[in-house]
Amino acid sequence: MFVLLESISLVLLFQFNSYQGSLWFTSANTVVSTIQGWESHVVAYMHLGAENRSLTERNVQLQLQLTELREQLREAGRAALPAVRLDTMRMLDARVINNSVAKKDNFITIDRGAKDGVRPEMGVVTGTGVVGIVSQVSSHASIVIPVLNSKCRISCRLRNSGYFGYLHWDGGSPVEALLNDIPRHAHLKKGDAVETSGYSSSFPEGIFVGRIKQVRNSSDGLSYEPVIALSADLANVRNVSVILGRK
Amino acid sequence: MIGSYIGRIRQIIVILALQVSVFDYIHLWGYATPLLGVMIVVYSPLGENRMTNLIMSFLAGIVMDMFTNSPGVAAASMTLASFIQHPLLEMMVPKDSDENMLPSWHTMGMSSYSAYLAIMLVVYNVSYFVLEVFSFNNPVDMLISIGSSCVLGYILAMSFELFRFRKKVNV
Repeated sequence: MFVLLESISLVLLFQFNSYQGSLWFTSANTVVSTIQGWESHVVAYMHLGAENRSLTERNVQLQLQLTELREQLREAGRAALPAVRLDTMRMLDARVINNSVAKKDNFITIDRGAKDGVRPEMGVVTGTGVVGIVSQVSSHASIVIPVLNSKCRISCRLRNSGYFGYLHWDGGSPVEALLNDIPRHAHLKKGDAVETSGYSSSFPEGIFVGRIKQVRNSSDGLSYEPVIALSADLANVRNVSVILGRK
Repeated sequence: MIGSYIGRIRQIIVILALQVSVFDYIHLWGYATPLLGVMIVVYSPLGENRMTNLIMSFLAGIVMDMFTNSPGVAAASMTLASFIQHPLLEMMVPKDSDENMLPSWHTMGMSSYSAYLAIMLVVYNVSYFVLEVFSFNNPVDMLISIGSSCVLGYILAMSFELFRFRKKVNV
């Protein structure tokens, strides 16, 4: 019996992510997602005060930025507009019902599933930047592989120069990730903005990811591997949007 | 008899609820997470059927895995802990112990229970973190996680015991 139960456990462990049937054993199953939904309601209620203050503060910042950008846009003309904007995409609001940031492979569970139009490989963003990619979907909940998961690879580029690489995380700080494969001849500097490249179906181009915090060489020395300070605070994310596709 | 079954089921539900809703969210210094789901196995009575204990531990592990999106990790670790629990407990208690004895500080004595709890926590934590990380890319981080989680789990489990012990004395 011991060998049998250990074998079942190991089969579950190795087939997770590659076998849709394993969805039943995750937080996207109906019972677990319902319980976690209740739990997140309670936790969200306890954080309402802080959330409110943060939203008010953010609102003021956005209003100031909006005024400034309007002014810049008026001066620069319409050429300054990004190629694709999120208001041209169909977005679906979702609530985070389970989240982790301290593991090597973290996951986020959201309260939207196949019945709401969510499909695997769709991108997930929050007001401040990229969150991750939908991995598995049940009828009313989905599991998102966030940037803070060693299996997550998101194609990104440097906003100024256009050089692109892929964003990945190898554990450690939940507010930083690495941008791989940036060529040696690219000119990088601390503070450069990083955004999605649009080379995958998950994200349109131009969604803000973060800024270069430190420029360093890759382990083989053939390219740069800058450390990116992520713009989205994944440890504290409560509401996200799933990018369903173009309008 | 039925009362003891109900008590045991209630104990399992409480431990599972605490693990998935409280302990899973504790990550002290980014490393220490109290994995106290194993207390379901630690508290198994001496006379409990081993087969029942194995299956129950496996199922409890599956439930914990559902909440952490790590299918198989807790299930395999709980099954392993359950497999060693009975022989370990038999080694630690006197031969003439009551066959329905509940492992605790009160029934086993301080030193035996401490050793029993420490061994169970170490086995469970090592199994859990090795299976969760699997590749040994960063063995130092893994060892720190195992060590700190064992210590934190031990402190919390002994604190529970103080409460259980006090309750017994008051009765």
